[in-house]
Amino acid sequence: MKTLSVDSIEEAVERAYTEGWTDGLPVVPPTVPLVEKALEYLGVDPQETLGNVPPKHGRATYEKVVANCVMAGCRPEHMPVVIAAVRAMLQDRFNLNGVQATTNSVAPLVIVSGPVVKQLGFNSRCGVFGGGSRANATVGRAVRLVLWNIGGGYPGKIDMSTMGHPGKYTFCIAEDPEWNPWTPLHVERGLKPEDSAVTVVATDGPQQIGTGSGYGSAEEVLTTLADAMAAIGNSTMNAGGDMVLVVGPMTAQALASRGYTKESMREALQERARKPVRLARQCLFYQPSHPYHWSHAIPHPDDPDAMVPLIRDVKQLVVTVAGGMGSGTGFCSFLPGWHHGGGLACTEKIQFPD
Amino acid sequence: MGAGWLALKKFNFQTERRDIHVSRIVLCDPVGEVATTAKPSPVIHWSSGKKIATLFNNHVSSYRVWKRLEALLAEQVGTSAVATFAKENTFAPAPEETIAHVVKIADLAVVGVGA
Repeated sequence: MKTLSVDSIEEAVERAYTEGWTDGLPVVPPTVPLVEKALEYLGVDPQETLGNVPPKHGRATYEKVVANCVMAGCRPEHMPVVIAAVRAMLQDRFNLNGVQATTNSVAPLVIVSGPVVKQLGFNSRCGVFGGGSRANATVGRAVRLVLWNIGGGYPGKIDMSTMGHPGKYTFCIAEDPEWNPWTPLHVERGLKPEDSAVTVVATDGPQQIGTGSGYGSAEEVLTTLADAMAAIGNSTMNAGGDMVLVVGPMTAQALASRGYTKESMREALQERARKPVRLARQCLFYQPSHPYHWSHAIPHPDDPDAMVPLIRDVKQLVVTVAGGMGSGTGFCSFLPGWHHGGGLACTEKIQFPD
Repeated sequence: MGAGWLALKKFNFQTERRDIHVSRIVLCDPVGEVATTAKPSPVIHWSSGKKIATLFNNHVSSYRVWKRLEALLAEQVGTSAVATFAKENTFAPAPEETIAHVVKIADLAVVGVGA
């Protein structure tokens, strides 16, 4: 591996900036002993590659991924989670090339689920999108640094995101293993309950929705969620694709106690999260000629009273349970996705060393 | 000795200086290496009988420009010399079979970007 020498920690921190290794936040110097210790823990060939990370197509060898994990502040035991996230982002359907280069603001959201949440101390409760947990912060940060240093996602050069969002620094949450009344996310996506996994989806930042689920009926909660989700200017409304609904535990338990499963909730939201054609066509985000345009999702796109569904297919709504119990306001978060062209949900099992 | 002396004594201290030998710190470069395999395209000399393919990314921002380009090409070299294609997924590389088909039928291709 290419190395360079410095005389002090202060110089190492500054050198990371001058070398272009960081996006603005300071990093832990990726010293040879720290990288070697992590590689020894993982028991992998440092030169083995996970693939090339687009758009720059840098080779994601274990050595390089680990160096970025060290810079993010990961402990060695966090690194299998990062490796799983990288593998998930490199799946074809994720289209990382597009996710990294688009003018849209999306960033890969990492959702951790399974026993690893408790084992490594991921925060799945109060302030789940915010600070407070080394596991969330450093895993999300490592993913970003991989996208930066190996994928070349430099703003204004390759990453042409017009707005970006704070999740481009770190963007990792965990599904609550105890307050989730429904099937865990990774089990829905084909893994065993005892497995641990990451699911990545490219999304906008979280938009909070106060549902009043501590006081209202299921119908009121679902209507409130649906109205907030189906905004005509978001990418998913325009052009379909996957999206994420983070249901707060208060709301999840309110809906579950009234008989809703994830599946029936998705169907109920698909039915309700719609906007009339007369409103949808005010937004010229996409041309009707484009195959992903909303007009292809309904039989009568010229009827101003026809309703355009946000959720073209119920499988496109990724549902997870996280956040604090809160009050009866029953907060949830909705994260629109990119669109049908990429950033679609991809899941990988986390493989820990023997 | 008054309060002034006490104040002077309180603040008139020196930190202990220690000369610590620090060995050099070696850092691992985290930047992924890129295999450079791209070759420059050969210069094309146009002559009648050659065919052009256009491969449109289908991006909303370049829709009108691209349609105009296709029309101009057809005007200049003849409709039969131009084959037009459009990607379904604007945001991903064209499928390999599409590229293989373009290579098979055309002498050069105009590939569109736009965002």
